[in-house]
Amino acid sequence: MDKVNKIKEYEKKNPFRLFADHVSAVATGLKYTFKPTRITLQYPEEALLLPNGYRGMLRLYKDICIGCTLCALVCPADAMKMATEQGKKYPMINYGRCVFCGFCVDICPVDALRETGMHDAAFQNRRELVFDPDKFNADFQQEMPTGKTVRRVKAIIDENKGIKYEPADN
Amino acid sequence: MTSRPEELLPEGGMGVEVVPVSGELNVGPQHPGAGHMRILVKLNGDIIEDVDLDVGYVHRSVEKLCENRNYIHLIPLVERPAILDSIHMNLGYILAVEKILGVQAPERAQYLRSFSAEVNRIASHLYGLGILTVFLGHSTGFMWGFGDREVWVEILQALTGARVTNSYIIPGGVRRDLGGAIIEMTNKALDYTERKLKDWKSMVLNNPVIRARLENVGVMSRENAVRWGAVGPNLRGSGVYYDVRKMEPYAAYDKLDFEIPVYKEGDGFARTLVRFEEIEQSMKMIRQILKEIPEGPILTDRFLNQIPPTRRKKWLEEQRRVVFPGYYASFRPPKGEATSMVEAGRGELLYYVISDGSAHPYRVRMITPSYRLIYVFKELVKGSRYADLVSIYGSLDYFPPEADR
Repeated sequence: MDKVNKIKEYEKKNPFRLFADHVSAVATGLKYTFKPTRITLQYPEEALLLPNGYRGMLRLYKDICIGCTLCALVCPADAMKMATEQGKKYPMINYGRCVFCGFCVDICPVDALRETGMHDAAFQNRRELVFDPDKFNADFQQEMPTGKTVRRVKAIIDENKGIKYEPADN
Repeated sequence: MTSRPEELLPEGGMGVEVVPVSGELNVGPQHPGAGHMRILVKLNGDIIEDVDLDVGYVHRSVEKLCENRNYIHLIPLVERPAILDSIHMNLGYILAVEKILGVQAPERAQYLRSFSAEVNRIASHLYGLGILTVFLGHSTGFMWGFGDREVWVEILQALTGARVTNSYIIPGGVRRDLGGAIIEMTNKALDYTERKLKDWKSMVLNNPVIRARLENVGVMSRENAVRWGAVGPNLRGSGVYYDVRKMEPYAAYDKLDFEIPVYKEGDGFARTLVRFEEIEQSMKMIRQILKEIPEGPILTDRFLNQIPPTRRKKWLEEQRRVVFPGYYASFRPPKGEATSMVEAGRGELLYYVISDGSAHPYRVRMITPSYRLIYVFKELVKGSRYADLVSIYGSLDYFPPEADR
């Protein structure tokens, strides 16, 4: 039968090639000693610029929001809840629960929620993780050491090195 | 009393009597090679007589949680058990839900599903090879496995918007379309991995040290593999020609030309070779998909027509992605039940979903490939040497969170 022919057997270890195989393994290792393909990112001195469409921190455009509650309904982690402000409903988010699936961005019928392309964040306590509609209505910004200490890089796939980091423009 | 031990011990402490020792050893559960599982090993000398696997350390009751959530909420949840194989976990669940809903994804979406699944398979197998090599004390393979995996994770990130928790596949299609930039990235990644796999061969596969640790270790005969219920690369390493992608094709696999590597020996090296050659086959499939992928919508018309036309057009043209219709937030599929099978990175993954007509599924049963491996591992290590425990464990590519769910 056709299926049986497809069953392969591997070549058994040849004792006479032992030495040659050892040498070839060591030679491969030496090749990478002299031409390393290191992909270590020197975080926090270097930080990644995330690609367009990355599902990171979100922001709300309060003036566009129509308060339809779909985002709170579709949220798989119950991170998004509706808050009432002067009789109008706005979403608020708890980043302690958010799983960054981006369902709320996709389901919003008026595009009032957007991804900000930020994902590095640190908070002092758990209360800070909850963003009320006013705090949520701004681009996610955190005080980052700026200037020469932080370089923004973007990851690029290279056919020789695997992953390579190039300085990003901004 | 004297403080000189030579006077107390027979023959001045030099004549240590060696008695055959039998006893128990604990391996794990905090990752000294065991993963998140405690292995109680009953030893006779250094021959393993029996092992008791204390599974459940990372149990998260995914199946029970599924009963209290809407269908769409389960997409991120079912990915969690096998975080490095999330596309397959997601795909299997969606295939079952689509059967209940009675929708079919359009052709381009089917190709994109296969594309993301194969990219994920390469990443998953490189992870497995990395773990296997570090179990054997070969740190280079570990670094290479995780470094080369990063290239494919980067492609998934560009395509889906997240590194591992992709949540990419939705009922009726996929969320984002393939663009020119991703195709260029993928071509570069294919060139890179093809070249790197040659170095993998001389460094790992043909390395006499690795081969000595894997050849004729943990031999699973064809009969045993079938009787113990092995799946995936472990089954194919024992000479059984079985792959869900060939037997019951889903996504675009019936249109793709690929081979299933099957090896006869059934030892650790055969399993490693199967995994290694599957990476090559996956790359072959990705090349085909990039060449043959048809134009067209990526979401079925039934859902696409529910999105307001201006909004649909704006997102498709600007970012090549579809947005959700409001229907997704809390849909109620008709009563019914469905089974779906996919070939995940570690083997056959089965979902069984029962719908009682409400917004929550009545029951979601997931039989993950690692769950099947528990019994295989228990039987396979009997009679081997203690030093080979990690070698067998690594060659099975067992992933505890996936088994515990």
